[in-house]
Amino acid sequence: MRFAPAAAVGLGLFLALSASTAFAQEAAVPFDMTGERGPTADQKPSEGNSGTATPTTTQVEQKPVVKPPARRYIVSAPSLMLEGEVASRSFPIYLTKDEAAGADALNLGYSNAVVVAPEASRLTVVINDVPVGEMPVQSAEGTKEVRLNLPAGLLRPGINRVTFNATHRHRTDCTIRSTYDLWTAVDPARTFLTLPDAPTSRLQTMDDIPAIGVGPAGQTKFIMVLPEMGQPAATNALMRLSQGLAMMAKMPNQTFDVVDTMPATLGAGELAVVLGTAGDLSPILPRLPATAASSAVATFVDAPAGNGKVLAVSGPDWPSIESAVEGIVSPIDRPLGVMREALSVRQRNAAEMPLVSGETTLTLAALGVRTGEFSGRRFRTGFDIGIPSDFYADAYGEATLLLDAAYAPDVLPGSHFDVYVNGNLASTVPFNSRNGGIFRHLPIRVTMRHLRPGPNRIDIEAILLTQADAVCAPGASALQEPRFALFDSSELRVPNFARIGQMPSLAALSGTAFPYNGQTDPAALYLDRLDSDTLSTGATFLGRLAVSGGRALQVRPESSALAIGDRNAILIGTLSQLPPLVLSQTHIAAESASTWGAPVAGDNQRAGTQEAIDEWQSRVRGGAWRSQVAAFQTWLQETFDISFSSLRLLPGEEQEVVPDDSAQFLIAQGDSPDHTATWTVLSAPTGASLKAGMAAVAQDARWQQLDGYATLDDKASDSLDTRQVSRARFVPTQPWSFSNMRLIAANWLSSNILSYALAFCGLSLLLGMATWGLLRRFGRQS
Amino acid sequence: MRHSGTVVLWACVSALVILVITLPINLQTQLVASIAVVTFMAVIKVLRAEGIWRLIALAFGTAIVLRYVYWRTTSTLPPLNQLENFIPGFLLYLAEMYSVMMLALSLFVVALPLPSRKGSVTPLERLPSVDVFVPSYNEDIGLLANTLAAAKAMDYPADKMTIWLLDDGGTEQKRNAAAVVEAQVAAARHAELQALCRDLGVNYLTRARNEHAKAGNMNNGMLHSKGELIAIFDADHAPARDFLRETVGYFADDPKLFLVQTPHFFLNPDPLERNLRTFEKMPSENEMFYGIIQRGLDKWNASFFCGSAAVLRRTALNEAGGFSGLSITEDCETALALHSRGWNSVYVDKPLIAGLQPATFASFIGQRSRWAQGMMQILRFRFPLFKSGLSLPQRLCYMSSMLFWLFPFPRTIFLFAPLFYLFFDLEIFTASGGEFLGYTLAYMLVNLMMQNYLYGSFRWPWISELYEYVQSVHLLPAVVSVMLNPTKPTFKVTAKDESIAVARLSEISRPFFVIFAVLFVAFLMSIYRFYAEPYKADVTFVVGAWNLLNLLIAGCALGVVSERSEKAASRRVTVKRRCTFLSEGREYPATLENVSANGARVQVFGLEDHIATGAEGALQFKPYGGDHEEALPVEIRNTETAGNVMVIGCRFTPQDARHHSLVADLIFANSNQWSDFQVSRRYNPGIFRGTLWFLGIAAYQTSRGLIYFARSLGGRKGEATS
Repeated sequence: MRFAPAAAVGLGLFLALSASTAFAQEAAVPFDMTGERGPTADQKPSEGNSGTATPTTTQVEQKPVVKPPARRYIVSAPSLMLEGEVASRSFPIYLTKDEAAGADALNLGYSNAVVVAPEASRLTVVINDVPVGEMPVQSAEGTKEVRLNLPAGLLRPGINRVTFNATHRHRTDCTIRSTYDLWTAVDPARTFLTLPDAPTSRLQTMDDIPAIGVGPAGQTKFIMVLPEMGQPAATNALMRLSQGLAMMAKMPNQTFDVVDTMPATLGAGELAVVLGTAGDLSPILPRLPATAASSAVATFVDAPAGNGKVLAVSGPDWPSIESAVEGIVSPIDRPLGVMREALSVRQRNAAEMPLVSGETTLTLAALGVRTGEFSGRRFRTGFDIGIPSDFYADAYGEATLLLDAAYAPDVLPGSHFDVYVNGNLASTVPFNSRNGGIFRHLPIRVTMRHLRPGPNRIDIEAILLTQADAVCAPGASALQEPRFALFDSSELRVPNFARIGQMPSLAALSGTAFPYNGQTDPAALYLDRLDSDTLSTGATFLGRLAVSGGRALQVRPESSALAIGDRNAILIGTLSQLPPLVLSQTHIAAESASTWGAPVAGDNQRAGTQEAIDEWQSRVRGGAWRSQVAAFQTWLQETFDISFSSLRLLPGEEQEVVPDDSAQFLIAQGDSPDHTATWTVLSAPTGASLKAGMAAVAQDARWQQLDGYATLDDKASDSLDTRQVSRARFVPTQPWSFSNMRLIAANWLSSNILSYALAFCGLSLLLGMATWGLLRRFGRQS
Repeated sequence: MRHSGTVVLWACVSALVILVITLPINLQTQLVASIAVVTFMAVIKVLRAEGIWRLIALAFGTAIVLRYVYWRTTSTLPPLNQLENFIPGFLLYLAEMYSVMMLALSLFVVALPLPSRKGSVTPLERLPSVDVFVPSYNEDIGLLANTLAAAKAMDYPADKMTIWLLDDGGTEQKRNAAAVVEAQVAAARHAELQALCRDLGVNYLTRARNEHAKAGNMNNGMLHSKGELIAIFDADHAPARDFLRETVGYFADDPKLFLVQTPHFFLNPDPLERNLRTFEKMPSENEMFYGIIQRGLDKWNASFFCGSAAVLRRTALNEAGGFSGLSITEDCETALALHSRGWNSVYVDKPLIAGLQPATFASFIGQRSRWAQGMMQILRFRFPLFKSGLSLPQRLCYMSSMLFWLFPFPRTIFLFAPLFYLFFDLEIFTASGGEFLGYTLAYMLVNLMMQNYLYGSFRWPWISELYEYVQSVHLLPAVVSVMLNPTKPTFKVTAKDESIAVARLSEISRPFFVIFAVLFVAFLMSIYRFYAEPYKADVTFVVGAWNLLNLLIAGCALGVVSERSEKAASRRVTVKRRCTFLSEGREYPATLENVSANGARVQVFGLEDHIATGAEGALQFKPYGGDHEEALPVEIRNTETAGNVMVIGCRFTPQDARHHSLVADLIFANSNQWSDFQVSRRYNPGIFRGTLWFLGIAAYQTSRGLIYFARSLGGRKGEATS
């Protein structure tokens, strides 16, 4: 255990006092009761720093005598939870040269569940494969901050990998259920690198843009200052530049805020970009280089308020500004026709996410999962894979996990091994032996039903029951005897799967920006009005698409929706302003143009009745015979998942979307009038909700939920309301091949079950008749 | 090619079907398709649609079977690195694939069998000359007398028919044997048969040495005769009067015809029929072969020689060098040789001979061992698939007939496969409960329906499985031995005239009880594990059900090997025929009720009840071939009065050869009575009723077998104490 060795000079007296208090209490109390100790720090001192211990407090605002060290927040999410008995989260941080050299410590703020047993639970922080801190998990009452000093030279300019590992054990309980109560939450606002003598402006050059970082809530924001917002010529440059910046930063939660005046201050994780002709900019940006009046410039200049630097992109006129933008974007853009081998989603996970586009075998080691032994009762780990946008094997596809694992003899039969795909159970393998077992490449069939275009999370979990847990003697939950081992030689084997694009598909849009990604003709971009809200929405959306698609999309602004014709298009505006043709093509009910946002009487009566019937049905299920029948029904339902809606011959029509009052924003997709191109609509009742909704949907957690032909963002709920596609238009993406066509047919027939039965019976009928004709003509005749 | 259009169309449709079958669809889709097909087939079956619908129903079944094969091959085999699972799993897979292959071959054979032939009549003056061969080795003289008499009585011009008794029991080699008792017996037999033949007016022929068994004997007969056609009857196969009339006509129609084969009809039950008491109501085992399969083979010009009840052309046999004797089933081997030389065969679907089959379980197994080993020898020495000269359908037909005899292997594997899981916890078939429902259950249902559709009125549900199981236990070693040493087996004549005086266990019944005990323990184990290990109750349920099915069949087999005693030495044939009963010089009008080789039951009108048992009398009737009435001496065995008629049971006391002819005339002359008997047993109980019936039989026979077993233990104890 090594904590916080270095000293922070100016805090001496106050900190030494609180440290000794903490030490005394730590010795006296076996269980950590942090919260009862008031606002003072609760840093446990370690050897070598007793005199100069440097705990920080939650009240940094109590301005000490010297300037507080600058903070570089590192957690790029609103929250970071380590859940279960064993958990690990790993993510990259991109540092500038100054930051890498100047950061002296990592401040970690975390809290944990009350039931976590501190003596048996540990939290470990690893940076660039070097452990920088390990501690018992003992912050059940409020957030506790820990300062971890970093060895010099540990951080590098560019990408660094930070890993939090937690092992938890329950204080008293040994059940599987209890493991779900175990968590440690790392607080993004209190987890940062401290930079004692950082310059006022972090970002100095274009190369520093990837180091833009995050704010205390995990947010990244580009403030695009566009004085001449209403000028149509500006839109193109703005959108192109937004995509370029988005691809440079690649942060998971980045938004664009288009404004016409210079922001007063810039917070952490924010960058101001000034865009306009030299003439437009000179009033607000006095330090604009003089050359801007004659040629294109893209450079960092001092902000007028003197609090850092802003990126200025300018030139004498808009064409020259566009060339300046192109100078920024083109070096990082991916040419058409170049395939990606991995999805660039470093921001989610430190490991690169391989793009699985056909027959692939990947070892767990290659996927970032390490061999590990486990002594608890619920082991869980996972990895990510990328799936192309034209994935079409959700109905029939099956991947195989070749499992290398072992379990101890004390593991009881009834234990099992589960595979989850994007949180859905995809496979279960029971452990049946009473004498332990070793699996060597045991094939586990994993349905590909829950895979979707873009990043996918695959979790593997082992539920381990033992006699000791059933008894649960005191301390049993913390026994160290390993029960289970997972070896990283296990392999995930994905077969060739059907590949054809389906439109509409918001999942493909969010996953890889399909179909706008990779098209040669620019897509039309229709903005209902050129104001701050609409432009912000467009910039955020296109920035997000550029990161997903791995390239800047070609767009051409259009001033009239009717002029789009049969091109792929993105249409952004308040619902009332969108032409009826656009609404009907994207299955949005026409009347919602006037009703959405206006208060209407709720239509919850029917839903309520159905709920009541269901509830009564479950209550009435009783009696031995009834329960047997019900159990069989449940088994049938679980095993085959056949409902009347799945028993269909042909796909049905999409239902019209009527956004209800709680929805603040929607994305809908539909065909162009002649069904050759795809239109995507971003809309909301008001301009403000349009911008707010887009900013919310652009958050990584929500962006990954986009699905179906329409997705609505609910103000109240965390999850998105998606409407599934029933009738998709196929868009060939692969050269014609028999094997692909066969797999496409398999998936289509597996989704339209009755069609298969019909084809099967029809062909059998034909075969019978043909055989009859054949047999009558051959052999002896009767 | 004449029908290339049809072939191309068929090939295209087949390719499409294969394409759809091999789509990797999901389980829900499979389940719905299975339900649709099963429903469709059930409707066709219930409506008893025939003609094109027969092929359509079979195509439906085939499609489901092929989907099962695809799934079984691609997703159920245990991983290769788990050898303890993979090896038994792969064996099970092979066994299943063998079953599927046999299904495919038999579908090919019987998809559209030829209907019964109308008969072909040749004018009297153009009838060819016929030599009738009755090869014999050690059969009883009374039996031979009946057969020879029946042969002699056949409706055919006397100058064109020569009967030959080919006696291998009285050869010089036998008469001069070193063992004096055998030599004496052979010499006495030689003399007796010579006398019998003289009396009946048939030729007696024997030879120097017993070389090449039955084939050598018949080749020797060919050397001494010169008829254009050769009819062959086993010593116990007595022909009806119309045998030659029904068969020789085809030879005039087709100069390249070498064989007309007719069915074997048996007067007595086989051990299974006797011990399960099904002879009177259920179709015999061989009716499936003679009723359907031979007709199917006939469609492809591949019906083959079954050793007896057939007519062959001498020139064809000469071309092939006589009867082939390389294997111990010379009949099929000969037919294969002649088919491959471009000769044709015809099958006449009408029982024209009546014979005996092995009565005891041991001799039944002995006979089947010979067939199985002989077929394996032919498979080994004359592999029909690659034999030049055969047409493709003929190759497939012969392969179907030979490969059938490999059934002991899959049957054994199916028997023991569940035990791997129940006793050793090995998972040799990786599938979930849902997949089992969607694929395996559908496959099994469709399989049962196809079998019932094809053979329904000839073979009741589960009876094939029972026959295969009771044979497998002893046939497996026989087949393995012939595979290891193909030239070793030698021809052994099957005893058919045994009788069982007292009820007893068969001498080869021991393994059946051992297997039953093991399966019963496995059954208990499955119940225990079902409750003790609820987390895999679904797998235990499926495997336990499979084991239970095996247990039922094994239990039923206990009844098969528990031999019931049989009162009548030979079986009675029901006849309705007018005759006159002679007693003490007086004549009474009478009707024959039934006859056997030894006696008859007669209703006599006007006879007072003074007649005593043991008294002598005679039956006077007009034989089918004769023009006047003749008398057959009898001895009264019992009498009973029924109103104004008296029913008399009497025993024949033939004194000269003519009397044998009269007995033969009573039993064998009219072939229609056999057809009628067969037809009376032929109906299809359907899968549900058939299965229920089988369950009943299985329960009863299990208890009977166990009682016999207990009694045999008691008997042995009794012997030990006395």
